[in-house]
Amino acid sequence: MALFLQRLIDGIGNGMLYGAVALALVLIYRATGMVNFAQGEMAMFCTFITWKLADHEFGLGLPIVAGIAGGVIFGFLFGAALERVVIRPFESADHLRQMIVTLGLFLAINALAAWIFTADTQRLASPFPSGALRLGGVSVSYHQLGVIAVLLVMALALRELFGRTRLGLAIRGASMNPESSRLLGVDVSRMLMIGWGLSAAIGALAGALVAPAVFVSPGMMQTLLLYGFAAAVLGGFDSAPGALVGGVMVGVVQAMVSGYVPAVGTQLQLATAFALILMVLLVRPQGLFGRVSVERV
Amino acid sequence: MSPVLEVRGLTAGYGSLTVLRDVGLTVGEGEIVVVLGANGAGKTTTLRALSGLIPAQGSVVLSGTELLGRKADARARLGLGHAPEGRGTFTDLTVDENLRMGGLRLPRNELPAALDQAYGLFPQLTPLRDRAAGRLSGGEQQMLTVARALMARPRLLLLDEPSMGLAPQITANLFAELRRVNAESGTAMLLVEQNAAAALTIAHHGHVLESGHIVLSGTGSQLAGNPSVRRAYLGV
Ligand SMILES: Nc1ncnc2c1ncn2[C@@H]1O[C@H](COP(=O)(O)OP(=O)(O)OP(=O)(O)O)[C@@H](O)[C@H]1O
Ligand SMILES: [Mg+2]
Repeated sequence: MALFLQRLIDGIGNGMLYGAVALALVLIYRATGMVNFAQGEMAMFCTFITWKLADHEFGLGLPIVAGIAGGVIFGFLFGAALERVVIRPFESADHLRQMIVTLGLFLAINALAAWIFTADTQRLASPFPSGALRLGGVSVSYHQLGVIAVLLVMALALRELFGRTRLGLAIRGASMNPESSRLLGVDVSRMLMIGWGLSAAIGALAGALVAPAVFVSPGMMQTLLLYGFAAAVLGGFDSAPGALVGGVMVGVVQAMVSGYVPAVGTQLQLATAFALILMVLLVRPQGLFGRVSVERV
Repeated sequence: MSPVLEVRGLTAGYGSLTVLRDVGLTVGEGEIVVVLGANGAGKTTTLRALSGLIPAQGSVVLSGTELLGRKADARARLGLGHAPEGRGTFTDLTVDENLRMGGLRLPRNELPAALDQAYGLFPQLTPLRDRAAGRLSGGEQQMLTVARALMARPRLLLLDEPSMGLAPQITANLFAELRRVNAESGTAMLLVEQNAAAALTIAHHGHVLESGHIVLSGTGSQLAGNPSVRRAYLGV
């Protein structure tokens, strides 16, 4: 029982991170109809910024919390700038070309990070105290607890933003019906830019929170991105709550499968994410929370 | 008094296809002007060119400001409202959120009153506040589009066949309400319609558009009395 609980909690902790990456993907998908393959690499780049700000040996040695804040702010500006410079020329292009552009971004950012920073693996401190909370046979590290708390707060903040503020409403409207939005005075391009900025900022946060476990390197986000895709597909790709719930479910499934099916072990874990994507696409293509659009035809 | 809208030599189309040629018209302060035309005459094209959804040549001056060369959202911020043809609603947003989209640029403290006014204009929308706009009937969506455009308190409201899909009684109500809004707030309106009988009752001035040209102009009652208008648009 304790082992089961332990795996459940580990799964939830990891799953929240997958959920955050999925949320970043969903945000851009909802705003632009675009699947952003560069999401993980953007997050990785921002995590390097955090590392540069916080590392005592190679960077400025700021407190880690300040480093993360800097990385997240940088992420917002980076995302907005990418939208303006790289994506906007393809705003009216078909989805195939847009996806190829984001694949190109993936490669470019990856190479750029290795060139600007380092191709080596670097350490990043956790913003949370070390040690763990022990209850019976279950131990939850403060890092895990902190990650869950921070991402929950982030999710609630986003819900407020989109549900209650004018900016959030304008972003939703602009992604749903750009033409009517323009007729009401909404600068649709600017809303897309903000959407990309938010998405990249979320990615930066996820990157900084996962980095203490996986270290900082140009390839650090690639596995996480795949799990994020699985989470987004499971949640429905156009549903923000679905992304988070999907993330937690992927995390838990992963923890259980690798824990209870010895053959899967650690090497095949990625395959479970992939199998999950395939299964959802076959059985319920709109995901668990995805909406079949209510538009009348 | 200078007009709210002054259009000269407006030429516009789609790609290499020119639809409008040299259209000129004026909407005075507090006026309702109607443009009548058959299917395909270029009514929607005229409004889309005015609000910047398609490129155009000529001159379009709104309260002294040239609009051509500005983006659609910038024109809206200058006070141009546009209730588009058909269903221009945000289908996944609720009725209330659709109206709030219209009120995005209002001072916050004026929003509740503007919402009350919108629901007062179309009481049918009140019980539907929390329903997704995509789940409204065609006529209800039409009302929502008009109410949403009015939320922004435009100087000039462009209305693209607001009567389309509405029952005759609802159409009569709608036009009476438009007239009342016009009289009370002085909102100028440019209305394109095929329903000449309803539109001419509230119009100060009118034009007839055929194949992208204005072929006839006059006051509302002059047009209503014109034999060719009566034959083509009033069915008498
Ligand atoms: N997107 C488009 N691309 C090419 N041609 C178009 C387009 N939209 C309209 N047209 C053409 O422009 C002409 C005018 O169309 P418009 O939509 O302005 O007519 P309308 O007067 O609004 O008609 P209706 O009463 O049917 O709405 C028509 O001949 C139409 O075929
Ligand atoms: Mg039309």
